[in-house]
Amino acid sequence: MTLHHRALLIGLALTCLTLCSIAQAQETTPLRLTERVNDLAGVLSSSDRESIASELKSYEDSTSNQFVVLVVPSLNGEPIEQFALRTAQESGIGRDDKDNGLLLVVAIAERKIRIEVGYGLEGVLPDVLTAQIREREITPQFKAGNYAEGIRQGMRALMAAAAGEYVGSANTTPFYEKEDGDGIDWFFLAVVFGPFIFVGLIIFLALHAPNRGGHRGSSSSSYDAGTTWSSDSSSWSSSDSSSSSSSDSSFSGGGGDFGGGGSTGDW
Amino acid sequence: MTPDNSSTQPRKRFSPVMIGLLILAIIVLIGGCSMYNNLASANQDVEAAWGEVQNQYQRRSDLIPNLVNTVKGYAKQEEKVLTEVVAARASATQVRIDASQLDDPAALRRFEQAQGELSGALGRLLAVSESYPDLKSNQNFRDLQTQLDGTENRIAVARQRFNAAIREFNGRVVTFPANLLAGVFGFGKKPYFEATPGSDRAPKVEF
Repeated sequence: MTLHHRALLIGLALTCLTLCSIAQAQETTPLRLTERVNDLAGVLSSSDRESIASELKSYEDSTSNQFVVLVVPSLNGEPIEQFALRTAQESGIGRDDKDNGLLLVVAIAERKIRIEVGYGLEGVLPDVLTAQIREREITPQFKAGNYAEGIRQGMRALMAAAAGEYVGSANTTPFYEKEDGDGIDWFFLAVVFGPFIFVGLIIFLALHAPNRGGHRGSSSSSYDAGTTWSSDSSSWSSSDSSSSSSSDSSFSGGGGDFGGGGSTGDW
Repeated sequence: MTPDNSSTQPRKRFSPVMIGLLILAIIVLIGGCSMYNNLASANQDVEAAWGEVQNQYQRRSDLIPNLVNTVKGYAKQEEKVLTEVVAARASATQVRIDASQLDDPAALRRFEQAQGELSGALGRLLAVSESYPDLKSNQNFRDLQTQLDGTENRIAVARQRFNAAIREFNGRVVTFPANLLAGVFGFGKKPYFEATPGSDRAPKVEF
């Protein structure tokens, strides 16, 4: 096979692999948001997106609460509660230690709105309050077709409701999470390595024994804890063609946790 | 006498065999320790997740008296469904599973069943409320409905996370080499939380 042919074949193989992995990724990867205002349905103008995003950024700068907006064309059969929770959790909205994130999800085809509230904000934004904000600020605007204004008023009301307080209710401790691996377990390390230091000393003292030391690490199998309740998953990636280049509009999730608080409604 | 290497050399403080056995013993000890720690930590996660499941079911239970009173204000004649809900709530409150019972599938099923019956009774109450427009437009009733929906959602999340913790724990229990010692440590596979078919979520009232 000539070099030319080989190059073609390799190129073809790589392209196939890339396409396959993209297709795979779109099917199974949950949405990880990096913009504050994500309009995957194209119902907001770019100036609306930027102005709302900039309000949300100022809000985060002053309170550390992360509020994010996501508009999708359709839920593709998935319940909005499930979709909102796994997106919020995957995107890590809110600070890790405060769980002060909020995600507003709008599904155009199903005409459903959900406000997903992080553990840390459940105290100041209980379900009834978010339901009232949704019904008074967002739904009327949406019924009139004013998506931008509805989102803007809704977010302003939510920010006002949460004003000054980002420490939430008693239930701010996430119970089961895989992502928190910050702490170094010194005790564990001492238990594991202490004896080796001991044995090393003995061997050194003995001087004659061949070093047959070797250790078997802990039997760890990685299990995908999974955050999906059913096998439905979104089929678009998080990069859309209308992403803004302004740094105001992007955020980085702090790893905040969500417990299913918030409210859902139709318009 | 059988020739013995050690008799022709100066006596060592530790023979190679002894060193080897010592190393082996330490390896087993460390391996055992780390296996135990992994199992114990996964077990802790399961217990914490179970606590959350119970919390959320309790939260639902706490909403019910207010709901029953509100409905009574408009639909007193619906005695049957009202009594059902009150009775189902009482039985559900009595079935509490503490962490040590999580190994027992029968105990878990009892809990699931009691909560499932409460879900069913709640669903029937809400369905009946459909026929009372004044009730449906009552703000207190609407707020309770919002709170119930929120609680049902939290219950679903708590159960899913509990099952994830169980999956993680069971995974450690059954894989080699921890499975050899899991029984010795008293760790057995735990059952998953399952919904009693048909009575999972209380149906929502459409406004």
